[in-house]
Amino acid sequence: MKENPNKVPTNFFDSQRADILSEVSRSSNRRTSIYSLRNVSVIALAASLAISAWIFSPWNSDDGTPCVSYSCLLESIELNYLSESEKLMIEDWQEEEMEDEFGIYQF
Amino acid sequence: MTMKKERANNFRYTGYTSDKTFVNALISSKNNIRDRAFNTLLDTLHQPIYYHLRRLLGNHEDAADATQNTFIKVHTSLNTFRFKSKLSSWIFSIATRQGIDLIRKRRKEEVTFEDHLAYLESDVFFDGDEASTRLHAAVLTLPDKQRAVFILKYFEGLDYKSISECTGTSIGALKASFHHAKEKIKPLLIINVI
Repeated sequence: MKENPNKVPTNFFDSQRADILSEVSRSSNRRTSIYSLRNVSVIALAASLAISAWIFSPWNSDDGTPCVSYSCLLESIELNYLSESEKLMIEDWQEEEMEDEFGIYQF
Repeated sequence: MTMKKERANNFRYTGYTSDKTFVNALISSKNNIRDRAFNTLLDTLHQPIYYHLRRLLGNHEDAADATQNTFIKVHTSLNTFRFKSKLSSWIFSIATRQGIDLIRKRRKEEVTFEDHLAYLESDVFFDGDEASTRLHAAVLTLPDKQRAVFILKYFEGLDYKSISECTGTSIGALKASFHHAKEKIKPLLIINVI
């Protein structure tokens, strides 16, 4: 087999290997730091959105603080926000409640 | 030729059982695992990639630049490797693209066979006999893609399937390309014999 006629300067491969490994290592560290920075940013953004949604929430309890429970949320929904069918359902329910309380012949 | 094929198609990454385990180590977030794997990658493919690019580009400086860019590109693109080909074929394809890009960037005017011959004869990093010098100069006159195919087939000893994975070209087109390349090179070598 013929010898390869292409020659390289002395220690070329060792020196280039060091350059490549150094660049790879730098690029890996940069990538890791970008990922951690991105994770922190995403978490911070999600947290601020959640807090803003809670603070500026239209559903407040009687004392004006934002609701943190489902029952508070239900109580704070005004009847005006409901659709006609939902209003009818609530009226039916109210009538049943009154019938239970005062008897069927009250009116 | 058989020896060449064995050499070029059977790169082994010492300490790793398959391409999959090797790639997992190369993209590991643990520095020591990744660095060890990258050292193994360079042990195996640094010189083959350099000499491939050296034949493609015809001079040491460009080949050195393209080799460095190839390994950095390999590092940044490893997460896109889908194991549809051998890892070595994929890396050779990156190297070939880097080489072709550089040829296109540097190509300002037509360089003749005689120019290439004169350059190689004066190149301190080229030490071939007359036949070898003429062959390398003749290869440099080929159009870029044809040159890449000829080098991968003739010098690297890759089979057409592997070259197809490297270049994204059909096997039929590769055979035609290799045939045309041989036809273009032959007269340049015959002149020397006469």
